[in-house]
Amino acid sequence: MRKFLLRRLLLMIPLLLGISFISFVIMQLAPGDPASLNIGMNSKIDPSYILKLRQSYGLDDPLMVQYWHWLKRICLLNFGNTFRDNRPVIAVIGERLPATLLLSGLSEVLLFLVAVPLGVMAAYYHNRWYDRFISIFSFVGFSMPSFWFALMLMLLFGVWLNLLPVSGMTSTEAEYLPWNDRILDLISHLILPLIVTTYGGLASISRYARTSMLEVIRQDYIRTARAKGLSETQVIFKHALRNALIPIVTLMGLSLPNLIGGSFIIETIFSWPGMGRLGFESVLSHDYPLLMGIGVITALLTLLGNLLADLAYAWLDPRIRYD
Amino acid sequence: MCQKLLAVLAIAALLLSGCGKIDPKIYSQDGPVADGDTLVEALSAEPAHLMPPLIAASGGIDGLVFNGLTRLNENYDPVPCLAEKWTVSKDGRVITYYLRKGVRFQDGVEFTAADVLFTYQVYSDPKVNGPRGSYYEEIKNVEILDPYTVRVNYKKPYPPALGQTFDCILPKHLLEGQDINKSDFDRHPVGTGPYKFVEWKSAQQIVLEAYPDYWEGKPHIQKIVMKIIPDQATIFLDILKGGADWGWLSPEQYVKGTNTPQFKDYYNLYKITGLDFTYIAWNPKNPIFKDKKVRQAMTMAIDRQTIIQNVLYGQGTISTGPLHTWAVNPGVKPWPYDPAKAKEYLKEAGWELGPDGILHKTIAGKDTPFKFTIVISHSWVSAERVGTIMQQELKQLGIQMDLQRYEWGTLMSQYLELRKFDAYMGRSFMDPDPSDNYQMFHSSQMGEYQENRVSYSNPQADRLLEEGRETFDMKKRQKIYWKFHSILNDDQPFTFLYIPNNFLAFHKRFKGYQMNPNGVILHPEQWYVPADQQKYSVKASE
Repeated sequence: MRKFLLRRLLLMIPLLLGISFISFVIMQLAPGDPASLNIGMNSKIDPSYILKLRQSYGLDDPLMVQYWHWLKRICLLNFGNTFRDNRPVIAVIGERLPATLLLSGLSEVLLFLVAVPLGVMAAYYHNRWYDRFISIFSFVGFSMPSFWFALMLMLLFGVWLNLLPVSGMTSTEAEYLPWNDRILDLISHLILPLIVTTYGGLASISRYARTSMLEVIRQDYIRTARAKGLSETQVIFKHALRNALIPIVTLMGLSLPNLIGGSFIIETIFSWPGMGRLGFESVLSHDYPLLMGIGVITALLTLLGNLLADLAYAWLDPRIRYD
Repeated sequence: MCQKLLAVLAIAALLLSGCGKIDPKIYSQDGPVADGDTLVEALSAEPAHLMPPLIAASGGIDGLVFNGLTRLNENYDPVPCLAEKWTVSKDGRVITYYLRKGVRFQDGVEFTAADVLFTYQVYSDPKVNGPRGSYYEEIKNVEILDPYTVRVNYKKPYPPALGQTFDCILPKHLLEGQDINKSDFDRHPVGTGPYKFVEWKSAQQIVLEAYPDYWEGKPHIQKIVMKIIPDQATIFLDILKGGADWGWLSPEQYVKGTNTPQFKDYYNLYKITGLDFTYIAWNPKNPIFKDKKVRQAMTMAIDRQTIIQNVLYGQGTISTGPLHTWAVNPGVKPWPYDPAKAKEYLKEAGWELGPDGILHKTIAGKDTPFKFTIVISHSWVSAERVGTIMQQELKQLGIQMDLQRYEWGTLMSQYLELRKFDAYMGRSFMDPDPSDNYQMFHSSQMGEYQENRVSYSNPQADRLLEEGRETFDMKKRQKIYWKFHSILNDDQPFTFLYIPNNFLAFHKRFKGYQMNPNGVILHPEQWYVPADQQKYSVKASE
């Protein structure tokens, strides 16, 4: 087991190198020049300004030299400074990460808490009205454009009913509130984005849960359990669910990068100060150091997520052993 | 169950919306000047910098935190600010500023001539990655005559200097010896302006607070919160909800969403003519557009009024050139929309309809069909709509136009900068002073990364643009730019499309403010909310 772990961790090094190299090259291949983007449509700009910017960004060096500089820095855990506001990439990411972790972490928990029981119930009532209702319910969420759903919720709960705020993470006057009211304030800002993020993801997870439950429920050992005279609750939750959950664990592992990725659409609509917006804006503005920073961290988390999923497998399923 | 839930929600909503709300009628009344309250502004784009020399355009936050030696009044004329007065020498090469005494930066240190000199040194420093160095290029040197008198010597007369240089005076004592590109000051600016910087939470908000010792008197509004809301729909919802007091609306939101009591009871709506114009640029390097007659025909073939109707919901005016206020020649009328005349012009220019339904002409011994491609930025929705309308209109004249969309950076670096295009659709901002047309239309500005992308060259226009930059005499300048305007109108290097209207929603409880034509508040220390209309109870920090 320890050997397996060590091997997998060591393997991550060349993988990360490869990923970072490919991202670096692809990013630079994308047409567009970060320096001229910076000035946009403003026509009263010094021409020398663009050249100065290019030089200060280090864009005049050949690609390989640029990558080499980047790699040298990254080995010292220095992600460089952003093009946009010339601040350390790590600090910029650090500012945005908590908001995204909060939203996507809660949403991920909520997602599994809601979707798994939904899927299990759907499998249990296979092809009955309840199953169909859940399918329709979750597919509506899946197919509805999230920005539209978000706007409708904002209009209903924010403007018409005037119950919830529609933008940001805190109220304007939040800093004058006592701490318990501040938490309430935060929660009220969280509700709508949380609903939108979670509802959209329900379909896939609940479908997975349903399929894998359906498969398990037809197994011999379930029939045996029933024949033994166990109660239905025990059959479903003790014998069936445990086995049905194994594929779900993979999904959980793979969703780890989502935790920090955030959703650009939802964060933009709700003015949520998270990573999704940061990532998207940095793509649009060709902010290479920032993009690489986000990319490397996401890649690392994906690899770790895979590893964790594999480990969880071995732990959950006695048939799987890594020796 | 569903019904029950709805009922509960409805009651909760009633309860919540009922409490703490003032009857909106009160907002229409005036009241005595009072201190306090917060202004919440919806900001759609977060600034990258607050360090003035690193910012492309002034206004906004830097205008609240900093003062200039001069400032622009509602007619965009420079009026005294940190300089009590100034004199311009007879030959126009020396400007002497007499500084106001007793002005203090927000950290308590007095402002003197040394800060003016320092500001010049920063802006003109080639190591500073700032976009505005060119404004200071014509300065030979800056001399301190005494702590309250500064003399600026110019290489040649440069009239835009009064309005466009020294618009944000930097504190020498805080910045001296620092790397301006990386200074902490960028996230914690200190100026002499009416509001001092409090905090900047990335992607959330920027907070300013009244500076009690401001030289024009303590500002009445205690706090300004700039809330960063990237989505235009969310801005509107937040305004409807009362979450934001100040925000810009889209033409669509203005037309479809503001004619409701919820909106009108709470907000004043300002329709503001933009300082930007949208145009189609014709590249004369393509032999088709080398011919002035063809460019004129193109303008007449494009129905700009229909474009304004369809693209801006009717909210804009036809543009006649890159000029505003006093520089606009009232004699220049927009070219009419007249496809028949356009056809005539094209015929005169030698274009004949071929059997394929497309115009043809023999150029340099080669049969050339009238086909071209217009390049636009893919994220610009209006451009796409304009392009589609143009396509239809030009097709009827036998002109085939293709529409090509590119990501903005690509468009700039691969097409516009290399002058590799037939036509492009662009949008430009006008400076308060018309001398900026030099960059766009003078023949010396055709090089790579320079702004004369259509390689426009007319010796007469060149001379006017030079003269306009060198005389302080307003009457003369007006004559010069009027002439330039009519020459440009005749040459049509661009087809000028429209100047869009902008829409500002501003909560009615704010009183006593004055705006310039572009929606910038002129004396932010003067606005106030009467005590009985105040919404937020804020205390000064510390």
